Amino acid sequence: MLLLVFALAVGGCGRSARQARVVPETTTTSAVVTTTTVASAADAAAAAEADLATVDLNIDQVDKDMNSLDSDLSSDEGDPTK
Amino acid sequence: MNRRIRTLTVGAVAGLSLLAPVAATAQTGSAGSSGTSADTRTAAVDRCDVATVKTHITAAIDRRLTTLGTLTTRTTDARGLTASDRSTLQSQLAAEKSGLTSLRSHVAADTDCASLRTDAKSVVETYRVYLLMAPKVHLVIAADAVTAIGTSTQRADAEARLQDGIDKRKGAGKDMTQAQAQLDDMKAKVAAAQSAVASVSSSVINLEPSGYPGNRPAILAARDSVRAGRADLRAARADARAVIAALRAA
Repeated sequence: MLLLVFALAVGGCGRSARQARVVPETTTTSAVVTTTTVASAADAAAAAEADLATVDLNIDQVDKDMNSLDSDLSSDEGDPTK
Repeated sequence: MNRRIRTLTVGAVAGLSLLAPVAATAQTGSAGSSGTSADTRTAAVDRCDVATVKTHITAAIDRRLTTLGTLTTRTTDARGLTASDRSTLQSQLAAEKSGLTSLRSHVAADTDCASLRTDAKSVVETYRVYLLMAPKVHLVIAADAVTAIGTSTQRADAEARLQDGIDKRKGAGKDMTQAQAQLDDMKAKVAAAQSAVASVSSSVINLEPSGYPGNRPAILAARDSVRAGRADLRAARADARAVIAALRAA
């Protein structure tokens, strides 16, 4: 009986410890995603750069479609057969 | 004479040009000795080999169907394309694919060159895959992408973080006048880009093949607008990079 109580107590502590580790990590992750206020100017620069990487992808897409457009139009200039 | 020939044939040239290689093979060497190339094509088509002409027109249709498939995929994959514009473009592309597929069957059933000539003309003038649909798709995707950048969370977050960084440097006694000016210019350029492309989608998305070539100026004007928007975005990106460098150096 004593062994059973001890085992339950240890198991319960184990779950508590796991929960204690998980909860702060989740909270920290959420805070990083949602905040735009960072610890230092250098951190601000790094965070802005990460955001701009996504913006760059969109600019790359604009470039891609404009290049296709230029190809569409320049090769068919005045050609009524297209 | 030349003007009259052009008047008579220019409408048919679109279709007849699809048959040009056939005309060449149908000729025995005498037809090309006088008149314009349109005359030559007209005469040659009258003596064409139906099976060969069918093959040529079918190939022209298949090329267009392939292009329409590529454009459809592009509209599916495009980042920033609005749901409304995506739906409209895909509907138009589907209608063109359906029409050309029906025309392909019609060509297969044709038994004379007069019918084939009419169908060849339709391949070009009814659908305008290369001169209207492809430019239209690329323009709308590009314009919507520019707009999406202007309204994106990432862009807004980047601006906010750069401003936060500048404020922190200022608080530490650093002169951030130039960086602030660059950030302000970045914001202005993003706004200018959005303004430049604001009417592009609505100005081109409903242009019809039957309106060509009268609607070509609208395509060209839209291209200029998207080019201007793209230039503004590039300038905004350069501003952002400069601010980042200033924050790291200060």
